[in-house]
Amino acid sequence: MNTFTLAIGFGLVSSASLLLGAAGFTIQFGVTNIFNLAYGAVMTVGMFVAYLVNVDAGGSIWIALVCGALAGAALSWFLNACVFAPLRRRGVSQWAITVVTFALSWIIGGALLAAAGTLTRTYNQPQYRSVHLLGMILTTEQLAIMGVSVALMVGLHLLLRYTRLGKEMRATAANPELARTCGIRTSRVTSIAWVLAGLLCGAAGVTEAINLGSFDTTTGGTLLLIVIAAAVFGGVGQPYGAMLGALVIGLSTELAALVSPNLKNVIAFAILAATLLVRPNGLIPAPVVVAEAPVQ
Amino acid sequence: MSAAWQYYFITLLVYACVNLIAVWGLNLQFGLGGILNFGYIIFQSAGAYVGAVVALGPAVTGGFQSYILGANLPWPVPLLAGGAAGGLLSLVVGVVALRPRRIDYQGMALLTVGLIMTVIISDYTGLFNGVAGLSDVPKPFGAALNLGFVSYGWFFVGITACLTVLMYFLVRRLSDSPWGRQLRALRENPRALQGLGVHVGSKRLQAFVVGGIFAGVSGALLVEFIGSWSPGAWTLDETFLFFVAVVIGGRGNNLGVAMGTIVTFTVVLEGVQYLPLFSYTSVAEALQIVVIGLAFIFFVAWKPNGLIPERPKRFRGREPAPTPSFAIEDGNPGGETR
Amino acid sequence: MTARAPDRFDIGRIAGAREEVAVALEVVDLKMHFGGVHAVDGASFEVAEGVITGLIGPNGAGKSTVIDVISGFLKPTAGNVIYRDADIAAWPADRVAGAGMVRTFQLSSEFPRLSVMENLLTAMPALRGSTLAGALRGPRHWRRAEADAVARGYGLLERFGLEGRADEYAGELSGGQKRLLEIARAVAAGPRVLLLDEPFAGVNPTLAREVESALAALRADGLTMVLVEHDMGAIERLCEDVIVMADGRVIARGTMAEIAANHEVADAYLGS
Repeated sequence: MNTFTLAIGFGLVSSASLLLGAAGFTIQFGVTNIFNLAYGAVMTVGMFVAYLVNVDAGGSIWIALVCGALAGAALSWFLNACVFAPLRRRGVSQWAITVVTFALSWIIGGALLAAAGTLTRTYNQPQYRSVHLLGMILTTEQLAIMGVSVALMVGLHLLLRYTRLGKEMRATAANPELARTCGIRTSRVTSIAWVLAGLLCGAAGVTEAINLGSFDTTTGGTLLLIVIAAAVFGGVGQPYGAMLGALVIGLSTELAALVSPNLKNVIAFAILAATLLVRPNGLIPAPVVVAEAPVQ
Repeated sequence: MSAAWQYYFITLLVYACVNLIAVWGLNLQFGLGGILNFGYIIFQSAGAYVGAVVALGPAVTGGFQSYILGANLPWPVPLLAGGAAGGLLSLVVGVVALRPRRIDYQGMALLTVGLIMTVIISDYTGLFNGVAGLSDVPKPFGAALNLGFVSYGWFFVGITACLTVLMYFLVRRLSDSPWGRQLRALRENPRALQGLGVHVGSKRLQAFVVGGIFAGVSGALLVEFIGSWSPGAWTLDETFLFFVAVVIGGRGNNLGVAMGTIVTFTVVLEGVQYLPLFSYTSVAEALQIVVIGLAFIFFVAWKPNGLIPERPKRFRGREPAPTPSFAIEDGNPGGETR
Repeated sequence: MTARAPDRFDIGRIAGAREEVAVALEVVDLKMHFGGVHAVDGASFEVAEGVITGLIGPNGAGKSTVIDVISGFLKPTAGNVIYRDADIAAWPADRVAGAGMVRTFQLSSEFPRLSVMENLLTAMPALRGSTLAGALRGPRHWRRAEADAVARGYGLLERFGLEGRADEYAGELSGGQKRLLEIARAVAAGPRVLLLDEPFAGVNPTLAREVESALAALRADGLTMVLVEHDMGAIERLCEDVIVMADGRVIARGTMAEIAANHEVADAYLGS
């Protein structure tokens, strides 16, 4: 066991929560074609709802995790129903939607700030046992989180590949007009995609807050960039790419932290910038080519 | 009027002018050129930092702040240096970050570049004194004039106002020209413009750099008023407010965005201080963010062209030239290439 | 044929020899493969100067792809595009247009928030003040040239029946008017060859007549055109020469009457 293997361990833990976030982001982008910058705010909301359940109401961290995920799902659904679907119907241009997601992250952040203040918070958790595994030191809680992540990913895989809903989602992602003509109710599929993404988003927020130890209203914003880095690197719109991206980013950030703690986030940003500029379709390009859309 | 009130107005006016210059720059990039520059604030910062280290004397080893340069040059050199810094940084960033064809990817790339810069400047304290930032930046003609606090303030307002008028004429000259028109075409449909023989990439880069110069100038001006600058002064929030000003005012229209700037920065941000309803200022500030955000979404959805929309140029009807046969336009009236 | 202004781009004409039918554009064994999809698979043809050449074929034949390649929006997997004695296959779109080959698009691509007149002005080649340096020199530098361009613009608008709408937002025109505007704009660019990608699609019959007469007038002036269309009536009325494509290749060529009698063409359309 050395610092290197320890870092790998931390990297895997990090990857677990990134995985949830990236998968959610990518599903939502794939189906709706919206690069949602408000995603980070939804993660923060998940964190705070979990706090309410865990600290204020005294529930266990696992119940809090579920509640956080559900809160993310609800908020996500709400945003689609009240903001994005109506805007889409009005035929608002792509720059406008992007800027609206930016505005929403601001609004939600502001509302959170007004409600919760600037204090950093921590969850109420019992001390967990440490496990030594292959040169890594992981607590049983971290192992559990990794397990939850993997389970959710397996569930997602099964959903996308074997259920009718999954097929409809993939069809809508590939070609919305064609999907509509085939009789798929794309507005319903879109709604479900938002809920699913929100669920994963909330879960990602809570698990990341657990990893970090403490959080405040800005945590989601920073996390968002790293999640986006993972999603884009793997191939936006491609859930399996998100898994790869989460692994790569999670490991590289922790390994970079060995060199210098400041490098941790920078490396994620650098990977994100490099991907956007050099290979925007990511490592595993989704069947839908990232299309250009003029401003208007 | 008491000195405190005078100084309040001085601050308001200087900030208004600085914001106007910055917003005109963003209007060139985004309103006219369609570039979603989510990293805009870093170019203003570049101007501020470079302006500061040109105006400051050499860093004292063992002193409380460390930074590069320290040329101790008089005004207007720091201002020019700041503008140049904004432009140069835009050139370097633009060559790389303007490549994505999807506008949201472009925005994301620029945002990320901005974040990377923030981290670099915060961590490498030798550059611009890291997180603590620079302070004690000398004011233009400060020592020479030996004016009182408030009188100097009005003097500064004077030079700022003159500069703002100058920048307005510059931005109008550019926007109203055929170059400006091509930018707007670029915004609407880059592919079609390419098909008409225009090299779209260089036009976009030109708009980006000129906008960057405006940003740099605004930063250099502001830093010499405030006297200090640190990473906390330039976050994503600032960029967002500039976008709000552009969209609400009327993207593409220089007078429109000017109005948007006054409304957003002066009325809304300052106005909230006068509302007696809130006991905790932090809550007021947070709610202010919510209100601005909601107003912004409203405009984007219902009045995307803003309060004073951009209007195409109207040409006085002339006798049409005798119906030309489709003769090849040997039009090189000016002989310029595109 | 109308007299031509001296070439701006002297690529070296074959001195002396003047063929019976001058060739404006030649496509040699063009291939455009997207991974496993062979959109264009060895297409070869010539386009004669001064006539409207039709380019027809069933959906998926590769017609629009050929236009994209010729106009520089796609780089071909293989093959040559000979234009004015140069192989322009690898040229980017702006360079091709600058050399005088301009195209219109299948989907309306006017600049919606610019006025009709402004749309035309963006196309006029080398207008003073279009460069950053020119713009910085101020209105006095470019005012006159722009006024001349505006006059030319009004003339063009008249030819296309849009003169009353010069100051309207291009985005507010009807579908057919947008098509007319796009063609007018392409003509404003001063092309030697005009590539038209389904200009009649989705245009109501009245305006379609106007588009047709506009194209006929352009032909009368000697402009070389390639017309990709599904509207067989228009093709018949406008084109002396028709090329038929299917499965990425040229399968027939001739007048409309000859094409109509060709069994291979019928098969291609019916998808045997």
